[in-house]
Amino acid sequence: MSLMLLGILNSQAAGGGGVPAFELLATQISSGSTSSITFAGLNAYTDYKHLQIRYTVKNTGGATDLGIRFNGQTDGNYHSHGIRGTGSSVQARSQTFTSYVNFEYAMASSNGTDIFSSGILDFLDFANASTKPMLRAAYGYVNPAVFTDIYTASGMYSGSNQAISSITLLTFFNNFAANSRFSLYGIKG
Amino acid sequence: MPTPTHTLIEAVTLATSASSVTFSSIPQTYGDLVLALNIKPTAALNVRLRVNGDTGTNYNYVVMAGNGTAASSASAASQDFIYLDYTAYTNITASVIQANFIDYSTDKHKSILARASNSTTGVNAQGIRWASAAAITSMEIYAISNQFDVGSTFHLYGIAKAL
Repeated sequence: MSLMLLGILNSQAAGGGGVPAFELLATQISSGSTSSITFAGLNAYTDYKHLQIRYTVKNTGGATDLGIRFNGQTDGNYHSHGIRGTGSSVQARSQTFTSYVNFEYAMASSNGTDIFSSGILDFLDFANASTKPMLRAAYGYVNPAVFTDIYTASGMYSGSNQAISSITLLTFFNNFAANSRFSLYGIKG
Repeated sequence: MPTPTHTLIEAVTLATSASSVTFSSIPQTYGDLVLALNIKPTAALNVRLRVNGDTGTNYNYVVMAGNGTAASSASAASQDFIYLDYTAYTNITASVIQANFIDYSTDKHKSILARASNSTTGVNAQGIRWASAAAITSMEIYAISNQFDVGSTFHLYGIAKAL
């Protein structure tokens, strides 16, 4: 690793002690023929307090929303809120009592072979069985030929209190394009 | 088996003021990169970014910002650099900035999610696309006017994607 600077500085090499607190648990990469991916068996991750999913994704068709479900539940008790920057205005957005957490415009279109949208989803205190499943998100898509968006958002399931034992990410139109990547991380607490 | 990650690649603390910091020879062994900055300015400045020394018009962005009185959003295509702080420019007080480079070592265009906060100028969230299929091997964080002051810190982390 080399470092170049136009000033004089101190630099310290990588390293440091302590117990690793951020760990990769699983990665799933779409082959282009699936409309959903699921991270299951999360109740086995007892070493972790929080989960994070980092993704890049595009649809095999047009730009569309990214859906999220907890524990395989398909009833209409999901909600989402967000603040959206469109490039010309800032909007407050929400959807209530849907059958999945709906993160609108989170998925890139097939326009532009190499252009994917990306996002980071945080599931804080995911194993708490005394609260509703929820998440927070940051995601964006920058393709002026289609549209540009930056979001901060949240989602929840308002049914019964429950720990999150599985997370499903899905598209309701076409499929996740090949090389869409979803990685799951655990954070100790 | 879980793979410990969020690994520190390089850390820099300025002992004298400087107009730029470059991380070079970035390892290609991670899925994502996380850049964390604590920028103290010698005077008001914007924090700019280029990757791989690319001075071409290959940077696109969308940003939403709040300055304490209004919210706004802007976007632009075909830029030859990217602001990491945008309207949350660094002025008097330090700005903290975090930028996530997703799938930086693949042949996808590089997607960057950034957040900047400054206690006097505002906050923003930004999506950036570097329109190149090349892997990111270096990045330069720089200022045009004024400098990053003594004590400014620059940290680069790697996040694994393969077990």
